[in-house]
Amino acid sequence: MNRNLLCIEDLENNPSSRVPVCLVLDTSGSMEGDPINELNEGVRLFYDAVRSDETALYAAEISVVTFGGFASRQADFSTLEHQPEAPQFYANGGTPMGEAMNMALDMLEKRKNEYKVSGVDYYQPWIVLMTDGMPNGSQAELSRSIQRTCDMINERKLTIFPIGIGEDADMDVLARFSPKRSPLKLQGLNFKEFFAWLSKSVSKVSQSTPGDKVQLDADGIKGWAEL
Amino acid sequence: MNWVTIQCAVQGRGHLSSGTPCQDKTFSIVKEACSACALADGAGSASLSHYGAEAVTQAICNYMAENFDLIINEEGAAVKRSILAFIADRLETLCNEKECAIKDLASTLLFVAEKGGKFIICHIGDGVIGYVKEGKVLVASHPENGEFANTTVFTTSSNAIASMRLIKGNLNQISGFILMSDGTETSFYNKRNKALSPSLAHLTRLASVCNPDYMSQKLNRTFEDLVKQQTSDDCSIVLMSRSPGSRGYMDFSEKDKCEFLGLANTRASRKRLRSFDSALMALQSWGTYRAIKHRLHLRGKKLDRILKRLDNANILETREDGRYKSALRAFFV
Repeated sequence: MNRNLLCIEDLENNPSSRVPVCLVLDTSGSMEGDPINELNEGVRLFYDAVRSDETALYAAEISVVTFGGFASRQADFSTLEHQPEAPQFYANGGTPMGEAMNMALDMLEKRKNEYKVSGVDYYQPWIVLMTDGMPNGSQAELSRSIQRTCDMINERKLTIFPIGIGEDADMDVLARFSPKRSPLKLQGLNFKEFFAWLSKSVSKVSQSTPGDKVQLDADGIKGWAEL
Repeated sequence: MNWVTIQCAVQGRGHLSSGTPCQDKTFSIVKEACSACALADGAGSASLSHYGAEAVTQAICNYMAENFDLIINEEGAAVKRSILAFIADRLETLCNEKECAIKDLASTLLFVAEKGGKFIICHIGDGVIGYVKEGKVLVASHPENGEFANTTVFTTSSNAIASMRLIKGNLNQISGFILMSDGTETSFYNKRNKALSPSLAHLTRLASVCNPDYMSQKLNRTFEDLVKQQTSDDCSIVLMSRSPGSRGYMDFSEKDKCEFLGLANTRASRKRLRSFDSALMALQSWGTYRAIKHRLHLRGKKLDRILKRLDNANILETREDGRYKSALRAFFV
């Protein structure tokens, strides 16, 4: 007997809503040694965690920009279904943070336009900014990127997670990128724990519906309670 | 004019795993010669939004039925204000009962009311309102989301009046209305083309002629098996269909009968319709295969083909004891 009134072919096949996440990572010379190794391991675990979560796998679109000597796009926005392997980072050069942030914001604008044209729904984008030092690229680029980031945050168009690594991280400049919540100082080189939290949070957001206030588990990541 | 309303709301997979009740609510009423139906999707994080959604759907249907004649002749902005004020009043009363804040009762709201050949449509928030005209499924009101997927406007939002849509008109060739929540949108609304699935025409037509209990049960099963598997959100729908006439299916034109049964609209098919009409007459009450065969004087193979086609058209009920019955509303010729 015909069990249902319709069959699966009668339904529309809309793409899942996306959560764009951009990792903007310091790979300058000062990250040489344990920090860059731990960062590589942390990002690899992040990719593994997202891949193993069915919802996050089809929802999270991850891009990676590094700043070590120059700003470099390591991975453009894509789900891990299409881009499964985490990039490998090497420490080298100075800290052009402003250039990297501007590159990330440009990529984000381009991706949002692509979503709109293709009829893909998306959630508020996230940028994770990690550094162990102070920016030494163009001052004008830095100021411009801070202004752009703050404007988007104030208009509720972006969430940023600024993370300082080690004692020499310039927490003041990180704070200038984040008008609504204080930057976090990573305890030791605990990248793994942070990226595990990040993948869980992406999964949570990708399942949220209108009116949901996504409560992020703030234990250990003080000051970040809700999006 | 006779309208039939079939509705269903199923708890989403996300809410099932978190123990959150189904926040989608639907309601319909026929009162004062007015048919009205409504659907509301409770806000995700509002703890009591399922109560708010339930209250506003019931209240607005009654309000529309009691005030249709006044509202249809009033100026649009005034109607919007009076509808929002009425909803706010109802939610305020509920706040006192539940001892909660008004935002805890937030929901979207979609409704349609019909009376005397005229209709009124209203939409706050996401979800879609569609209608069927001359067999085509069209969008009356698109979803109102913000930039992001998890944002929309609610009955309690301060900007509700700015984004609220209010439409009125003459029914003319409109044969059905469809209300759906954003969970259901995933399966029936093409986000790229901003168009509704043609399969909704089939559902509204079925709703117009099938036994309501059968149709509700089948619609619910279809939503459990298929529609809710496409999303983690709750899914709901209201189908409000114009009945073709007092004899339901028997009042369809030959062309419509062919389409309904999945037959090509040819002379040969139209000739075959007589066999189907006779079979549907015989199937107005439960009967065994043997009794139906005997009554219709048919060979087994021919009866098998007829039963298979009726089953494919979703208008045949089968019981475990091997009895058959038409799923159409009773008609007597």
